[in-house]
Amino acid sequence: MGAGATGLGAAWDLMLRGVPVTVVDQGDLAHGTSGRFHGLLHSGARYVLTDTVAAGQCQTENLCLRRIAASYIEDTGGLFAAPPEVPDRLIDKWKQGCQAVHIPVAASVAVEGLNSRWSRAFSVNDGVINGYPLLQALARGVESGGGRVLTHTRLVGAAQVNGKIRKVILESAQGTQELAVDAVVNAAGPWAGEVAALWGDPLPLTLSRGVMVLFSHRHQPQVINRLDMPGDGDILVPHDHISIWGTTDRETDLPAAPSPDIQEVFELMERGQEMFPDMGQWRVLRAFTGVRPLYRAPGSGSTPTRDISRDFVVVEHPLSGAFSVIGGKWTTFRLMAQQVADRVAGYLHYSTACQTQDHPLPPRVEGVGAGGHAEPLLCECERVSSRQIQHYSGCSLTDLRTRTWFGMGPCQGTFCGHRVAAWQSHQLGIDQSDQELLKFRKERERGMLSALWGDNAVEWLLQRNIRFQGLGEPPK
Amino acid sequence: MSREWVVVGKGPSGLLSASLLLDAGYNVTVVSHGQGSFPLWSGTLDFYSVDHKLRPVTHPEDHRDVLSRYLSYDQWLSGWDTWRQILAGIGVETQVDVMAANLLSPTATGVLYPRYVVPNWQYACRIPEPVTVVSWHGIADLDLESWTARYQLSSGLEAQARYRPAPGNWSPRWTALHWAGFFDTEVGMDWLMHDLEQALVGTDAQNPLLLPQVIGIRHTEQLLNRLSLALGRKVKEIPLVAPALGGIRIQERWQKFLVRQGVRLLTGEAIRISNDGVWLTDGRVLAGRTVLATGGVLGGGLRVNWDHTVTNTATGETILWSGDPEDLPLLSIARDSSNYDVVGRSSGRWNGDLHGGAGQVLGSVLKWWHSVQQEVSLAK
Ligand SMILES: Cc1cc2nc3c(=O)[nH]c(=O)nc-3n(C[C@H](O)[C@H](O)[C@H](O)COP(=O)(O)OP(=O)(O)OC[C@H]3O[C@@H](n4cnc5c(N)ncnc54)[C@H](O)[C@@H]3O)c2cc1C
Ligand SMILES: Cc1cc2nc3c(=O)[nH]c(=O)nc-3n(C[C@H](O)[C@H](O)[C@H](O)COP(=O)(O)OP(=O)(O)OC[C@H]3O[C@@H](n4cnc5c(N)ncnc54)[C@H](O)[C@@H]3O)c2cc1C
Repeated sequence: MGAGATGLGAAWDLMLRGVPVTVVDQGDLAHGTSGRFHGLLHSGARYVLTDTVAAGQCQTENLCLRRIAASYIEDTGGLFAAPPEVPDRLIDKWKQGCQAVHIPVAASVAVEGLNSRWSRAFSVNDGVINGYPLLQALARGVESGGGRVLTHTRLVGAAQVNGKIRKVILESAQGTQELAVDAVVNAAGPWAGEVAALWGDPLPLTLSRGVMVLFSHRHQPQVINRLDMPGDGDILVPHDHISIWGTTDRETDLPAAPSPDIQEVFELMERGQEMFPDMGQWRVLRAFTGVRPLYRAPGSGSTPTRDISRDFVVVEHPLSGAFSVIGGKWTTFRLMAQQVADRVAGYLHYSTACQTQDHPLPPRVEGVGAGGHAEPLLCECERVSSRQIQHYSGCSLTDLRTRTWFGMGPCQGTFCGHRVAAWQSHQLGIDQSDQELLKFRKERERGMLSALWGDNAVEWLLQRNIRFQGLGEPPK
Repeated sequence: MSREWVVVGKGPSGLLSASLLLDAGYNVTVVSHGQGSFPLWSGTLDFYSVDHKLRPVTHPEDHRDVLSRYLSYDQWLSGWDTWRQILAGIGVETQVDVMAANLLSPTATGVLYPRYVVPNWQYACRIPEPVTVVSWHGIADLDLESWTARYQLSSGLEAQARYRPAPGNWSPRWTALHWAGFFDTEVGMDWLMHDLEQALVGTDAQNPLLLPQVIGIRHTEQLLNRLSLALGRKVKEIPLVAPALGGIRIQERWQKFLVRQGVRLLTGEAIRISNDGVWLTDGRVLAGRTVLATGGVLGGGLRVNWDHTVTNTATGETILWSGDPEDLPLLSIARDSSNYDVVGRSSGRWNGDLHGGAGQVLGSVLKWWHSVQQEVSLAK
């Protein structure tokens, strides 16, 4: 359960071993943290000073993902630049740490735009993960192997017979259903604690939120990291034509991602301008948060969240057949999947070994309707045509957005929200599509309002004028 | 008093101020760093369209209490007349309700929205009536299926819709401007006439015919008249989003008119205002008394910085903002002690999204104009 990187990865792994699988998620693919992350394919260099295990795992998995998921990885390379206050001996320690886990490090020249005093710079093999397409590929892979992926389906209970899990209870818009199972993998990310409680064994999870700021240009061709002990505001990741700056680490109560705290955004921007003095003038798009599920090993007391290991754990619950996998990174999802799948396969007496190290993921599907007939573009920023929208008819606007990427560009849906909603209304009717549009507007606004400055503030006001004066959209 | 005036901004409030100054015989320079908001909306002038509970307002007069904070109701009414006359002077005829009520005009999504002054090319009615709508493949803002459904929902009346193939030279790159440019040509007009004749077969000739707002830029009125005569029914437009032909037509005509009357129209960005005049980024100084029609945050007259400080771009002054997004459209740069006047969205204190953008433009410009005239008569 969980259609994030870990859950879909586990399903893919089990499917390749011949185990029939079903994936359920309360939302669409990437509803959780896997859709709200920084996008960095870690080389591991960020963790060598604090967490050698995680660093080594990242490096190994980094190389593995480049093999099996090449079309979902952008080989940008990464730079670590040290601010002037970092002593040389820390840099030496960092280099030794990299060496110990085989991270290739090379001296580098500083890059344009970066604070000129951050001249001690090194390149590593960081990269960028295209999260959504990669998850979609995993889901396609699972389905083409006979597995099922049930989105918008929530797990609400489990039933046992003689101490073994036998059934899970699922809730969706179609009602409640029971699904017979022999084993369950709880890959519910930040919700994993709640889910394990369904079979009476809640997990000692600590949740930590991180805020990220999205800029509408690709300011650097590579990932830029601060070379120092890990802290807030350390990493700039280029993603296609945009950049993501982050992040923070604050303990948080709820698994659902909260709206960014504006004070946290300010602090992040202050840190950012240490690194890139003109970041305050960059065209900002929005800010968003993600929530990390961190496993607090029993006995680790009250360590601050940043110091909890980014390593992961696999838990076998007292209820036979129930497993949880928690923690880790996007970068290490395959390894996490492998380890939990090993346990599940063992429990179910499947002897096939893990296949995922060498099995390439299904290839990328090229944009629906690209070329051929001339179709009007509904979303001009991201070039989404009516044909692509039609292809996903029946989806909610939010799912349409993450599947086609409409409404994600600089205008944040100002010029395309009503167009896509109109198409959708052919199926849903006016009332429901109006509600969908309002939900879409609120979601876009939440991100825009969290970074309300510069041209983004102008854009937000323009959006309101178009909605309320131009189109007569209901504001509530 | 100085005969020289500098208007910063060429949105509706800048152009209106310039026209009033021109009429009174002043020398006027208009300087702006961008287009202003006209190309972003259709140019229907809203007075008081929805109340605080967001219900459509039929009679703005019912909200005298709010409106009188700016002008007396009679001043409002004569102000609208002035504005209509100025528009007529630049070649844009408008319609209003004789009882000073709001008209109803459907938006691109089919919502019947209250509007006060509507250019003649745009469809508006006092009470809803059945309509016929024709649109073409490729006009993404106007989706006829959902438009008719929503029109029926908001009016309780039928809308007949005909969705037609695009002309042969259409490409997905066409914006409203391409369509309008095409219809401004002979070939385009012939295609349109022919296509509509076919499209209207079997539709009710009593109904007004509504088309997307792409019927030419220069020749709109002639085109609509010709269509109306040939097809034997009223032919009007439904405004789209942006680029918005209605606003573009108004702005083009207004600018041309002002320039012909001797107004200097410059492109430039104001960064400082002193007793000498307005300083531009490129070093030019424009001498004269200054009125800022800089459009607040949306128009570029105010800049929100990353740390939520706000700057008046034309002067460099800092403006206080609570940090609440809802207060952003209300920010005002007007100061009693300053050596410039302020009109339009930059004068703040009015939420155009609720109460009509043009209401703010008119109210603030007239208020400023009355004070200028008072000063003049005092000086005399
Ligand atoms: C701010 C931030 C930045 C990060 N940046 C990076 C990075 O740059 N590189 C990197 O490698 N890692 C990064 N990470 C870590 C990485 O994103 C996570 O470790 C990873 O996404 C976790 O994936 P997951 O599948 O375990 O959890 P999730 O993606 O959260 O998946 C859990 C899923 O379970 C579903 N679910 C929960 N409860 C139920 C239920 N009852 N019924 C049905 N479904 C349910 C949820 O809807 C969700 O989709 C970052 C994390 C954060 C917070
Ligand atoms: C999408 C949209 C839809 C609308 N719909 C309606 C409607 O249906 N009905 C209605 O009545 N009203 C509508 N309006 C009008 C709106 O609500 C405002 O009333 C109107 O736009 C305000 O005009 P303005 O002249 O004050 O500012 P703007 O039109 O924004 O003009 C500002 C001008 O100032 C210039 N400027 C700013 N700073 C500087 C500087 N430092 N130096 C030089 N130049 C500068 C800019 O370049 C621009 O020319 C709409 C507006 C928009 C944007």
